[in-house]
Amino acid sequence: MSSSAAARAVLVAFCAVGSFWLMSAAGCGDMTFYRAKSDYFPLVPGSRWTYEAAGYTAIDSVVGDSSVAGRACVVVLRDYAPEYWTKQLTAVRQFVHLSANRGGQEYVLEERYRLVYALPLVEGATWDESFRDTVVLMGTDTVFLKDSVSGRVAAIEDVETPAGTFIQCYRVEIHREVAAAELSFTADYSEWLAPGVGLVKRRTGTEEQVLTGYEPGR
Amino acid sequence: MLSLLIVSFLTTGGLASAAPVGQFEAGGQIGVLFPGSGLENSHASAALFGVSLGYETGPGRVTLNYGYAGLLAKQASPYRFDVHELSVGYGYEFVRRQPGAGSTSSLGFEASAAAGYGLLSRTLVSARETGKAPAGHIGVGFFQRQGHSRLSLGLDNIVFIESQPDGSARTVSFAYLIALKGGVTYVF
Repeated sequence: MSSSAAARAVLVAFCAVGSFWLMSAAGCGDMTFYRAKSDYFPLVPGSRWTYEAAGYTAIDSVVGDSSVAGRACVVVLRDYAPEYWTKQLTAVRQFVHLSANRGGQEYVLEERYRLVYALPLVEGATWDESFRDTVVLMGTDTVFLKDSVSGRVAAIEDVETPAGTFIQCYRVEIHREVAAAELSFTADYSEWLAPGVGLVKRRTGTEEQVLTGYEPGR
Repeated sequence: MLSLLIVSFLTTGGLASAAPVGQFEAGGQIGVLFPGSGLENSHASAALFGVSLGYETGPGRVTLNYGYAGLLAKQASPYRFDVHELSVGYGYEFVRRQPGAGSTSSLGFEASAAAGYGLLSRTLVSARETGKAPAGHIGVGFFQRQGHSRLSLGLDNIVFIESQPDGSARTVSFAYLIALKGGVTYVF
């Protein structure tokens, strides 16, 4: 093959591969990098989320930083009640304070940062955490405490809400079980977390809470 | 990107005005891949490995490259982001110099551009997500040739492009990575 023929062949091959790349680019990938670099639980001060659930409007907002139980945290007002959250590269945790009242005196059953989400979120990932303790109230009343949570990243979905369409959301299924005398409860719910926004939908049984408004913080 | 490649290919002479006889080459690269555009918040830099096949005539080279890097989490975590990429590129050697009269070696700089396609996977313990994305490369580097060997050291800027319809609009996401890599090539 002469050099000019070889040059033409290489140029044709180059254009063919380039065209293939251009066609592929039109489909433009599976948003894997987008998910990898996105923050699915932004705790930026000033952020404000408005939700609608069964005719009820709930407002969550990030008000700033604080320190609770000797640990730096972010204060989130969930429907005007303060919650304390921490976020690291591997976990999102929420401060939990469970107490029981006996004879007019408050006894602390549990006070710690419990695991909510294990990070990074990857479809199929699971996590669990179990906390157990025994607390004696008024010297005679023994309470066996168990607070366990398990979570699973069930799917990647696009979610339509009154606040807009959110792509590449992770659907997280969570089971929480608290056994502590009169404070016992079990909760199963699904949450949809959107990149750069956070919680956009939560489903508990047949009840659904959806995002109707979001203002990012600064 | 494609236009850029073809324009650079034609305007710089490339194969069209190349030396009369082309040469095939094969080689490998190692280096470090640094994440950017937000990825650096959760991902650490990683070793990069690559192999390439090429055809060169004069100052122009067309190469077929495969590269791999596994980005790890910044904190102790069993998380890993694997990037496999196949690309086709064009490199143009400029400022070519021979160190001394009668020397068989030459050295200079090379500018390159490439279009590629990445196969991606994110794993966390047994959980795994896979994906794909097209990428564009722009690079510049130093090279030295002697006999059949060609040594190179350079920077490669890589941009992965992703997009998806987002209601009435479209979300476009760019992931920028920069590679510092050295390579050795055998020219047949």
